[in-house]
Amino acid sequence: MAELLELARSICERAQGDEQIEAYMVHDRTFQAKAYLGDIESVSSAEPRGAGVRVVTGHRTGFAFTTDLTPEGIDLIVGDARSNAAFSTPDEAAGLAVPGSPPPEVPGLFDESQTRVTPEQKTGFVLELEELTRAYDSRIRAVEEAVYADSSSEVAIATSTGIEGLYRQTDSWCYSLAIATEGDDTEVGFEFALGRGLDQLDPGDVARKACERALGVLGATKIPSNRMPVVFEPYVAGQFLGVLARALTAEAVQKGRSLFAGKLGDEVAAGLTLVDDGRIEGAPGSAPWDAEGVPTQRTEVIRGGILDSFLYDTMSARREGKTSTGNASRGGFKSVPGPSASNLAFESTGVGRDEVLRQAGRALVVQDFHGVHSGANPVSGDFSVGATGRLAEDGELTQAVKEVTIAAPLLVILSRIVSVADDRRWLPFGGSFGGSTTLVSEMTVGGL
Amino acid sequence: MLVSRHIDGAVAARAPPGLPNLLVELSPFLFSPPQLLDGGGEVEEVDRHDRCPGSKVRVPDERVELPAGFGEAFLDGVEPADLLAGEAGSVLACQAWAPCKCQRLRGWVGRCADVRLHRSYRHAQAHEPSKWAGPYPALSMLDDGVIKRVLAEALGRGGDLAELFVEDRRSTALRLEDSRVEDVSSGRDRGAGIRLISGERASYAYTNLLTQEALLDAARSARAGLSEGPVEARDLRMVGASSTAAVQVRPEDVGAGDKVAALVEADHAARIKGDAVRQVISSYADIRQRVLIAASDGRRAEDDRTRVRFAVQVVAGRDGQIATGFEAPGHSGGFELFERLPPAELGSKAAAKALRMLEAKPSPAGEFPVVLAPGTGGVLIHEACGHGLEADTLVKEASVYAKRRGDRFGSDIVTIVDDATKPGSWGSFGVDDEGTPAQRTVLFDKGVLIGHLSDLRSAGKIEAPPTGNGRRQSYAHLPIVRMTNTDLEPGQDDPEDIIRSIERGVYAATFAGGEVNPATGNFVFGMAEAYMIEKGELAYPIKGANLIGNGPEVLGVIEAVGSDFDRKEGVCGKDGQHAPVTNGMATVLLGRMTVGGTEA
Repeated sequence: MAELLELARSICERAQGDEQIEAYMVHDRTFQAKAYLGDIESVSSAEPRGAGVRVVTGHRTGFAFTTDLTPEGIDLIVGDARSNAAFSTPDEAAGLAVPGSPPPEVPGLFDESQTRVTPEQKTGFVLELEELTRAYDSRIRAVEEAVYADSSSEVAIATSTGIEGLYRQTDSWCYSLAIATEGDDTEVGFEFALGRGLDQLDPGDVARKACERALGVLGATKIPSNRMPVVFEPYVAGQFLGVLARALTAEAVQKGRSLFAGKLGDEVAAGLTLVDDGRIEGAPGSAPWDAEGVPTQRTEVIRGGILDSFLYDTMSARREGKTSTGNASRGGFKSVPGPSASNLAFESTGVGRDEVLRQAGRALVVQDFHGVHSGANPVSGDFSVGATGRLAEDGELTQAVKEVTIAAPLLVILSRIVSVADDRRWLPFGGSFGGSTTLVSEMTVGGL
Repeated sequence: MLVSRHIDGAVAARAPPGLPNLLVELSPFLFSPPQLLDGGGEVEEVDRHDRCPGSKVRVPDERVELPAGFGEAFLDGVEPADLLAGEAGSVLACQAWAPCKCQRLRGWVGRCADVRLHRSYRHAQAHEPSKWAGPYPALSMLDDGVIKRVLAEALGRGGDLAELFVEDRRSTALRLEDSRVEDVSSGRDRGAGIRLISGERASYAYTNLLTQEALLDAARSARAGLSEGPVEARDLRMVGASSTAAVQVRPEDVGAGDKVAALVEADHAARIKGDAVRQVISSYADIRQRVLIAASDGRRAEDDRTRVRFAVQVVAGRDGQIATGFEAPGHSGGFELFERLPPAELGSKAAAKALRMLEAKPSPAGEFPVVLAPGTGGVLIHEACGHGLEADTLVKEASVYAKRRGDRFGSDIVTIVDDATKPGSWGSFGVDDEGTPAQRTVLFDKGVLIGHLSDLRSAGKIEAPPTGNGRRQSYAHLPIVRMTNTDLEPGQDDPEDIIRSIERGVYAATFAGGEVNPATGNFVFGMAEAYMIEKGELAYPIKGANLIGNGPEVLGVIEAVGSDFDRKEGVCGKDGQHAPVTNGMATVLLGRMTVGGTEA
């Protein structure tokens, strides 16, 4: 394990003159198994590793990565990164992070017991998940996919500016995709679980929820176009946060592609508090330090409804004479770092899910969004997506609804969130977002 | 792990290694035109190859002409002009670049000067090829002896088929935002995966190391769990590939300066469209992927794929309104893409879209006739028909099209084809990632379902020959059934007449992407650019519109197909893997569709 950090250090030692070098290294051990109709459909295992190198010289930054970790392979990409730097535009804010306060202890990232789980236990788990899903109800016609996957990773960083870090983490997750059929109607439901080890995943719970999601919308119909209250289930509330998060980085604001630009200090949400926290135990986006080696922290993005802070990495912070909020991220050693949320969630308004449904009156309870990646635009603030779910009448779920669209400008939706329940769960939608049952007082529903 | 940051930061992902991105893993299918390459547009899949001589620039024999509109801004800078005036063939230091006085280009002009000097790669190649081409080591294709030993090891405890997939991938990516080159990235990725199929099970193991020892280790990992006697592999024979278009200007032979120049041209062309243009993000990516496939059934195939893609996204703002526009063409081929599609034109077009959409009114919600613009509407066919006809979903009966071969879904004007042999097309290749030659497959013939797409495994299950649609994102992935270039074939109708026939409806000019659930056929597409049609004319732009419906049903409402066929490039996501694909379509009339919008 220490070898990875040693290798990272040796890369930084290649720095010449006043140039800065950063080496970010990942060594993964991954496993994935899929089950279908009582058999293992596929098993995949690997041990990928690699290095991403940034060279900063004369305020210019260049990046290169490789999977060849021999000294020759490393020499090549340091050279690549150096000549790439020559083609970037000088930027006064460019530069690597520098050591600051020591990173926090984030407990529970690494589950030692997970390293002793055998491949047979893992394939056994996914077979059980598939079987439980298939057998849940006679209307479950098939299980399109049942998947178990895990990884054990070491992440190391070293910079010629003096940052060094190394941590280990384990991740396990599974999901099931159930297909329910009744008459001519077919619906799909999926559910997942995420933890640090296999023993934290409950196949029965995942199977049941996947099936219930599919069965619950059998017989769904369109409803007439209308304006009405909309309740986001935790699952879609997490996706909604994922859209907002893209507009909450300082980089997006500085570059004129955030709907929150110029709104710092404004009331953007009715009394709500939105927190980004990279140190929450058990949350999937937690780590002791971010993708540049800066310690993670807790940042109140919206406090009591007022937009209070954006999320910063080193470069966007320097641009404003601030310090990084520890929000640099990257999708592995093949990516350059950039700012984004760590674990982002609204604080609950102190109500339970049932209470939120009662408050809603006659509302559309949205179980799934469709087309979020194309229908939500965090630059313009447009939000118009497809939705599947149920109608709620005074706390009771009634008619199933599908093939409708829901729409309202993002800022309007945000200002109309009146309740956030206390049933938060973490959702890995291109980041880590805490979704809770959320009531939006009015949106446009497009249907018949 | 599959986490990507779109070029617009659209799926900006903070994901520590190991964390899945369920947006990619679980969304049944995604189609993202703005995403540059299969890995997410930014850096995940990129590599570089520039061998520009660093801080020195060789001035070519001829003076380089600046493009129209570029000169004035350029000449505001002093030093660049000096550079241009340099004696032909002389070498000048680039350190002398002056900051530009032109606000629009800000610190750019000095760099532009350099760029202009590099601009003509033909010059560069003619005068000093070695410096520009740079070393590009050949993929050390493993010799047949090593391949046989590895396949034999994989089959050492039984199994039906062992397959080796070797890949060498080089790429570069550059991104310009705020008129500054922000990311210049490159990567070198090489590895091999071994697949062992035994009954219903496929085992896969891969490694970054291409030594015989590492490959034998991977082979042993792949066979773990089996306990039968060894099976013998057949002798290898080369599979003939479908012919592909030649790469005219290899991206690795083009200096990074030329790539930067393309970004700058697009940026400038977009910014001069008006003060309302607030931000321009232009991105360039190229990739060269060489693969070798060898299997115990005797298949041995190689392919050498070069793809170039360029994207411009423009953000415009006025009076509190914000709108975006984008253009993102690509092809299988080299830097000659820009001869057909000059960067300035792309920048200008993207800006024009964003500016038009600034005038947009909120979209109505309800049922309307919808006219799809040529090219962009193809995504509908991709989502609504293509995915459901991928044999892996068909055999699981997870498709609305399962057991419906021979049924009529549309009228005579609906013929849909998937074709990986289109020369130079973004979704084309010589052989697929299982070594099956690229081919053309008719899915719907005059409205009747007759075809499907398959890889080796799903083809075996339905007892039909594979259609050459087994693709994988990289050596780290198992092959799965994918589309390539999927077209609704053009018809006879005059596009103008189609619009004129509509009393009140929606014209979808550009889709931002789409998503479909193959089990139900339900889909949603967001419209990035759309117009209301009133009394047979495009009346005004609308925003926040999307299209929602059901795949098999939509084929039934295709009432007219125009003659103005076009194709658009995109990246398709399935099972957490990305693949370059195109969708093609002419102007099409859908009789009645649900449109989602903010005006009830």
